[in-house]
Amino acid sequence: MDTTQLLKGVLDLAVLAVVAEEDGYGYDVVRRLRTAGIEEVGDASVYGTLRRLYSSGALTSYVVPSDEGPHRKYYGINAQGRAMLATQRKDWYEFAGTMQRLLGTEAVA
Amino acid sequence: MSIVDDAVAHDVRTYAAQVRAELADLGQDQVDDLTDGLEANLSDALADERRTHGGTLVDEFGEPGTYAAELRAAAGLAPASRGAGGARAALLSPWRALREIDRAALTHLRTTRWFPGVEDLAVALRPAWWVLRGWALAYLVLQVLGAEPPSFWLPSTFGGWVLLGLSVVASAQWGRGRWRTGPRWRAPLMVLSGALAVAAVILLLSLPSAQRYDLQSAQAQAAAAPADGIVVDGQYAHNLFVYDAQGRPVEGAQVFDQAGRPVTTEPNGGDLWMQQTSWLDGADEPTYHVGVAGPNGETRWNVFPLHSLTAGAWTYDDATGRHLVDDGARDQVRAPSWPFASAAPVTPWGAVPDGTEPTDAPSVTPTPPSTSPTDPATDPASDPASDPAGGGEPAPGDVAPPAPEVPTP
Repeated sequence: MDTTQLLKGVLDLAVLAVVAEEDGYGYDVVRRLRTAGIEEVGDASVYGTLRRLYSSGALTSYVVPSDEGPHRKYYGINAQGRAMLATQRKDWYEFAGTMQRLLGTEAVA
Repeated sequence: MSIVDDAVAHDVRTYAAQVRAELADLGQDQVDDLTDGLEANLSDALADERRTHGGTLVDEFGEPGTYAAELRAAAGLAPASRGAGGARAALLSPWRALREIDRAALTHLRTTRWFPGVEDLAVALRPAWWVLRGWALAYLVLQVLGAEPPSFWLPSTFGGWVLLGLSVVASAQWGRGRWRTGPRWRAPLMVLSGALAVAAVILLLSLPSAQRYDLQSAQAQAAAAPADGIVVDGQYAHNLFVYDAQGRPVEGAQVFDQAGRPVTTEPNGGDLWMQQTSWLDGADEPTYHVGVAGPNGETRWNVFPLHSLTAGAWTYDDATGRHLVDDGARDQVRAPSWPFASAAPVTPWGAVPDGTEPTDAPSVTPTPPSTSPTDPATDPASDPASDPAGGGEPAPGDVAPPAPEVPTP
């Protein structure tokens, strides 16, 4: 199965989860997603998602100047983002449970 | 080392610039927002040792266009529209700016606590809007064709209903995305849809009051009492000429209805502005009918035929708001010309068999004094005036002559 298609639906949730763990800037978030096992996601998709979550008010943003190179834009989660994360997490568990039951019974039968 | 770093930094800057160029249609602010820190991200990605690196930045990240498209899509922004160049782009730029404001407002609204619920509701109500849009389209088309009255809710003809049905179906199918209209049709349809939204709101706001007004004016028309006067063959009579049974003209005939109400051809008698105006041949001022003096100094307008006076013989009386005949002008009163010198004699039901004199005539008395218009007004005035006692009498016109006789003691 093409997991990139699956990932599209839950990229918000994944990004929220990563940022909720700790504030992070663009590539930092990409790296942590990859470390967590989500390899197929494109860098630009993560940056766009961060930008969209920020626009919708789920994330805060601040700029950290860097001595060595260009500045970095950090993102952090806020109350609305946490609420979104909680809702989507619940949805995910429900959906995953449903799929599991479906696939489990299929396998038994 | 620094030379390599500089080369990499240069490549990164070039790549980032190319990505920004691909996003240029979004507007400077949005591009800045979207690509803020892009160089840092690219540099970090290149510096990441766990990553498998390609040769160039394009090998590493893909074409700048693809990268930009991915960035744009993930950020939830519309894909770049191709082929809009030069004048067309200039023409569309205010539209773009508007859409940009719209999008920004929407983004802002979505961060509020209340808006998502409202948006859900609005989305759920979309089918109602499709029907409304179809209805507005059918309404306007029927209105332009003149097929319906100015204010209506639903068509009154079969063709109108067919049109309404087609419009609603078209609107709903388009709304549901079942009609693949090419990009060429999309903009005109959007404009039409917007215009119909405005039209629908205006119609919904104005139709109830328009219909109420129609209904009120119709009711007022139905309820209004017909104007006083005597209608002959669809036209108001200006004067009446009474002939007795022998066909002789009757001067000063008083006319009443079955309830004793005076009958007149001058319902606004005494008010020259409202009275009938006539111009005699060669006259330099108009002529008006003049009433007859009653016993109590009132002016009677049911004494026929009405005589007339020229305008100069009247003066306006501020106290009563009426026009009065100047005393000195009384001898200028002109008698009307009779339609014929004498009418054919008739035999009235109340007449004596020899037919010389109607039996009831003496009590009514308008016949004998045929010269002075004021004389007959005095004595019979009391007779019909006491008549309303018999007002409910259903006597048709041809048995009317005996009627005044009944209440007379």
